[in-house]
Amino acid sequence: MVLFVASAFSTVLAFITSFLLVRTLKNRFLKLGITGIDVHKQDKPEIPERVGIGPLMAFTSSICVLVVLFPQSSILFSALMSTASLGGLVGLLDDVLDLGGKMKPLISPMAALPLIISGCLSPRPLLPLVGHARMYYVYWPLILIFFTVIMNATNMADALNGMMPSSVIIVTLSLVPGLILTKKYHLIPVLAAFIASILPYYWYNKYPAKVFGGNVGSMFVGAFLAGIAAASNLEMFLVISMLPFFITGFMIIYSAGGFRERREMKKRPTLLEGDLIRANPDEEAPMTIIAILTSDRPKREYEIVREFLMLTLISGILSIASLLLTFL
Amino acid sequence: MDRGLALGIFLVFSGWGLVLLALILIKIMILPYTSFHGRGLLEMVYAALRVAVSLIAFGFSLVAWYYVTRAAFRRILLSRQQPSK
Repeated sequence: MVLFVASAFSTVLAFITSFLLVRTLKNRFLKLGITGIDVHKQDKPEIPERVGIGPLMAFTSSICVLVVLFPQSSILFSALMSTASLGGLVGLLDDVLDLGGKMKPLISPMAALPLIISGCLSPRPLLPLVGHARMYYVYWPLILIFFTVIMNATNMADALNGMMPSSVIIVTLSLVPGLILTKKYHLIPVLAAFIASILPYYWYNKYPAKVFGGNVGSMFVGAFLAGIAAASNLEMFLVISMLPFFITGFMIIYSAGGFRERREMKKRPTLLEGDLIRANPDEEAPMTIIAILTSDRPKREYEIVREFLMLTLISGILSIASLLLTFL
Repeated sequence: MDRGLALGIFLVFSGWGLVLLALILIKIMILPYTSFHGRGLLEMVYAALRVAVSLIAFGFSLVAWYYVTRAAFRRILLSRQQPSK
């Protein structure tokens, strides 16, 4: 009962704080000229950018409350909060300094350090069909790579209005059965606070977007997802539920020959025809999930997001199915 | 359902298959050899070979997955560009 009341309180706090911050930052950033162009609209509107700071601050304040309410988990919660904040900081650095496609993956693993240093990670990840593996030496370098991959995949999926926050909510929910089956109930309030801080941002970011989260938003989200999966030893289940994110990442890396920022690509993967997006037929254009979804016919932005959500939902179900196969 | 979405769904299921393949390879080829304690040189060489075979099998599947997807993607794009008869 106490757990439920405390979770409800921190969740409501995260939601209200995030809503107020996103609304305030939207107007403030517009006045300050911190904006980005919505390239998938015909009139190319200027939209306030880096509003992802709002959900990050709301999540942090909510976790501070959880740290006070659950002193037995305070170290883990503080480490998760620091991990998410460091992820956001990497994104903010990229927003301000433009780190480029090679530098960003190199400094992303920094976000894993609070969890590693605090001793909250156990080098025994739960693998589908295999069970808990003992990886006492290999685990630590692998977890750094894991953070890089998850953070940058989340960043790459933030391509269309509302695509990243909505699909991340599905990914987060697909982790809940894993937390229950592995008896990590104490992490559920953290997940609830995270979703509550993302929801208001999604409301403003959905088509037609009124705000952009910037790299600060997507890297914070990616660092949190990697952190919660590592803390609960559900790394591989997160990988399965994020398959559509990796398809984009893998295809860009493979077809563009390494990590590339959108502006660093010679040929755009998609073209704009009025309000419709279609795959670029040029053979040198990289193949992304958006290009694949629009390969047969041009589609509106919200149609593509809806289909991407469907793919994420299928991945989430496959992740839960893998979990059940492991426990049966 | 159009072919683009169908290809997306195929990619998710085949991606899941790839992850499971990697885990099956880990389970049957690598995990029995996680400890070299008390094993002879021949067994260590045998274990290293199994790891190499697993990596090659997984790498080959990943590259095949990419090229099958790329071929299907190009085919859809080309069929769209050709005028219908």
